[in-house]
Amino acid sequence: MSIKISTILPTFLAFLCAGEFAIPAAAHAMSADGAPAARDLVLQTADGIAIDARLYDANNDDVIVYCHRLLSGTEGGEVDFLARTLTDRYDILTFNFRGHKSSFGTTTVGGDEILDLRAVLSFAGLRGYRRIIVLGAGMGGTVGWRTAEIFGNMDALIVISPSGFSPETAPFIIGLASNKMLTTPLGRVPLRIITKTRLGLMSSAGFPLDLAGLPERIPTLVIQSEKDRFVDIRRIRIIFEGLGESGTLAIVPGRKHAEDLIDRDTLARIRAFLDGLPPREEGMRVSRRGDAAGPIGSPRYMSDTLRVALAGDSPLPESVILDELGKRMSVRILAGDSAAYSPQAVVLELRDIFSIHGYTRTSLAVVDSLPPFTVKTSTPRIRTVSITGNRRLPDEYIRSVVLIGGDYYNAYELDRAIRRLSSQPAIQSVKSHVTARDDGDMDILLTVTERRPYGFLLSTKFTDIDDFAGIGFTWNEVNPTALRYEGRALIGVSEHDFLTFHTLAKDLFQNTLCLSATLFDNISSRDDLDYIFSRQEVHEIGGELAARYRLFSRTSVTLGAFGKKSESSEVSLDMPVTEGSSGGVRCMIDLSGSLPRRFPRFAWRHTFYYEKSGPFKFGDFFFDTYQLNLSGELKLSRNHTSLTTIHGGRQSSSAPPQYEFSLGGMTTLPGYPDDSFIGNRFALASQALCLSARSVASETSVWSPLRLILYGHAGTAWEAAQSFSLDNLRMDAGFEFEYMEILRAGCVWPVGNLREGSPRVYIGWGVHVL
Amino acid sequence: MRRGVHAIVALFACATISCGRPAGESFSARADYIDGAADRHTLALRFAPILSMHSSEPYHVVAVIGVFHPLKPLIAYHIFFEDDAFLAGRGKAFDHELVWAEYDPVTLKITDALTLWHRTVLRTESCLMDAKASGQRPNIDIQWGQHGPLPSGWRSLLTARPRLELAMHYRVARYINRLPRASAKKPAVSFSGSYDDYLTFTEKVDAADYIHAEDVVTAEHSLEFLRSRLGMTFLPKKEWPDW
Repeated sequence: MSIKISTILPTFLAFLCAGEFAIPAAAHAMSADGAPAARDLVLQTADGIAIDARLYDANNDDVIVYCHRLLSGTEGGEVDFLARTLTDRYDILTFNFRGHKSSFGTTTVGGDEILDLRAVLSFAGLRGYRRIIVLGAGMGGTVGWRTAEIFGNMDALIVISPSGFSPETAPFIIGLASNKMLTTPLGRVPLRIITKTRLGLMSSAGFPLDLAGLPERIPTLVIQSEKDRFVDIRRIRIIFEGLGESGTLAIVPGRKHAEDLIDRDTLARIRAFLDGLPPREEGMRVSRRGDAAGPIGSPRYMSDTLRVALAGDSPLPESVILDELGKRMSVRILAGDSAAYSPQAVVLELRDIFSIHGYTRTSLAVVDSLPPFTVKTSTPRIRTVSITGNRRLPDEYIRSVVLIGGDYYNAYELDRAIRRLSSQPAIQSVKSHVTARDDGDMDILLTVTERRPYGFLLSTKFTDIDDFAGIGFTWNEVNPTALRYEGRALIGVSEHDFLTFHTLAKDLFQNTLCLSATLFDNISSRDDLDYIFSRQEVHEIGGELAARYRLFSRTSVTLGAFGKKSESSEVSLDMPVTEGSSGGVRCMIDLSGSLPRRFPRFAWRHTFYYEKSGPFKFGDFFFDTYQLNLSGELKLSRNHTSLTTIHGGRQSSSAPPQYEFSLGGMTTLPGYPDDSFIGNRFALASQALCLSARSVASETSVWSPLRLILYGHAGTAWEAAQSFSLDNLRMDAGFEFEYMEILRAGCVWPVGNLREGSPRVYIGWGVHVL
Repeated sequence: MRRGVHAIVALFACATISCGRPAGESFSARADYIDGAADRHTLALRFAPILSMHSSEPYHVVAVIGVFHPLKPLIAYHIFFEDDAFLAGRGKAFDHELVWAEYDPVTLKITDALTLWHRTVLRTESCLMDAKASGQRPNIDIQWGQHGPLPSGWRSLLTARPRLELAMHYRVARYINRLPRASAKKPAVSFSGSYDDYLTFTEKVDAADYIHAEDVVTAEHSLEFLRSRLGMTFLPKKEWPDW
């Protein structure tokens, strides 16, 4: 028996990622014989994401919308199983959530996925189905649960193993691993390659930490295994107590999770639940789908048979409401039978229309029951937004994130605000409580739980001559002190050298005050140093205090002071280093912009840097440093760019001898040896062409994030007594493959008359070192 | 070696020539169903800014054109005035200003309001919250003569702009504009009040009154459309806030 690695790896990864993965049961792996023909569709969500859907159309009056778990899709075995066994009474409509398989966009792990289900529900509604039942497993169940509360527009909800994604709601190890894999860049590359699931750059920007409110108005069946290894059953029981009579909880024995639970026993429970739904009341909509003609999603409009007038305070434009009402009623009302719809039927449709926009608390009343019906609408407003639980975060900061209040209450807007707030580094969780006033308006109470906002990253890099492990640590304190700390460290694996950067910053009047320090010891390779101001192969300890002030939109001036101490632990024959200290002031002017008229795709940045060491006879070295950096980025097309950098500099007086001192280091590996540039004058130019595979591969393809970077450098350094000569130019050329700005591999050759050494090969992983 | 160079050149050429289309464009064309596709003219009217102008503003609004971003829920309101006080008589018939409104396509509520104020994008939180409380329409102050749009609550901005430049513009409008200019065909208009008066905006102009159905378009680059409507007599500006 052979086991394919493509089967093993997704299992392992998904186990780590979300507690969501489960191999389809063997019983599901049947052929699709007996299932109706599937029709593939493309639906566009309200926020412009195109998702793939599949409809098993058996011409039934009712439809079951199936929502898959995280990392799965419409190709799962359970979909075939449902299509074969349920299509005797129900059509099956399923879809890939955003970021999954061939659907576009990136997944937010259950956050914005409610818009995917919303689009499917709207589509099903316009197909004229009599009843729409949502069935979700794992993350799909969570999305169905939240959609029921936020958008409604479903007649019943069946949830199998609803998942939470925080360490609070799952066993600790799984919850922690899930959280880190889904919210840090570490998980993006393997998930993309192995499961074809695209995590967003800001996937943590609003994924739900816990289930939203309870779908009280919709009959709900929850199926949960007794010893689910990913979900705490006690939590489900607590949540379920609030459902009251509208909910049914079925606990089944075993450890199965999500679609593992979809078997014949579960099917029997689902059928019994659907059969037990209350009978339709008078005024419920009447399907005319059998009579509908025309393409899907293009219903015929009602003409004069539907005349409705709206009165009262409406949060939506009247034309939008009536337009949607016309579309919905056109597939509901029996042809030519105007008596088939009643004012109650119109009210039901209007309620669904308001709900699908998130206005779930809009009340409707028929004022005039003779055509044209007059329906009075009333939507509560948000009176107050109170915040509690915050000790370090000021109320103003929280209000500037949530940005709600002052207008009509909207469940979707509140959900987004909570997710937006939850994604802040200093927020652990947010819970909301909505209270209705006597006059119908709403008071919202946000309960915030804070945390220390730190982040941790690991990177590695291997080249032909040295190996590095990188560690990154960030800490963004969001409180009245608003201090930020960022630290980065490069530790040489083979040479036991290290290099660390430290920055402590604080924003003040929209400017930044920062204290920074660079500490290193015996760095024998300095290939990937960026934005440091001098490099010496000795000990150096120093710091700077800089204030950055934005004069105009893209102009900034940085003024600062620095102090350094150099100790000569190792003196090479060709570069003696003097011991001593230096201190002084520095100034940097940064200009950037674009050419909007004739060259709209060209963006430039110019930086001038001046450093004066030794004012007031402070220190042992007295020198002036001037540097000028010119860089430009030209967009060759939508996907390809050209990057050009030219920079030069000079030092005067008694500066300690240095290797190249560059303001902006190169982002690609140089092909010449590190000690090629010695002198107190230098000039360097680099050119890179970044070619994206997106031009030839679909956005959903595994290959689309791949970029090929072709680059070259040319530069030289010389002493004050010498003069610049083109004959002394050292040049290299190389290429690099870069994947999602995390994984890099490349090779570079020294070229030209002064080439030394052999081609260099490197490979790196991480975001903060390279 | 030569074969390798040829392969790299061929790859580069193919990749450069084949410019991929953004996802939204390609999918919108073949989507079987588009959720939340409300009428564009209705949306343009719903989020149209209320312009607060100076009582002695010398130039009137002549046209407002709404341009929808093809991929984002973002509307650019291109507002055209008769002329600019600093450029009057220089051959540019219209003064072109820009206000952006970002909205939520689900709730149809405004989510942000931005202005292009002399090449700088400005936004204030109070402008957004005021808009939400007053029918989803942002209130924009229009600078006298030059028509630089300032989001309401701009006084809370702590950056050097717009405060320094406003004071400078006031002095130009107050004093420099009175000087005769040989190159201009018409005499320039000048401001006669105090600086506090210069920053008082009392006249309300509803931009929605100028937006007709044929003045609403969906385009990432709208310059051609704008020129087809108004001629070539204005300068192009950045079309979207993140450009």
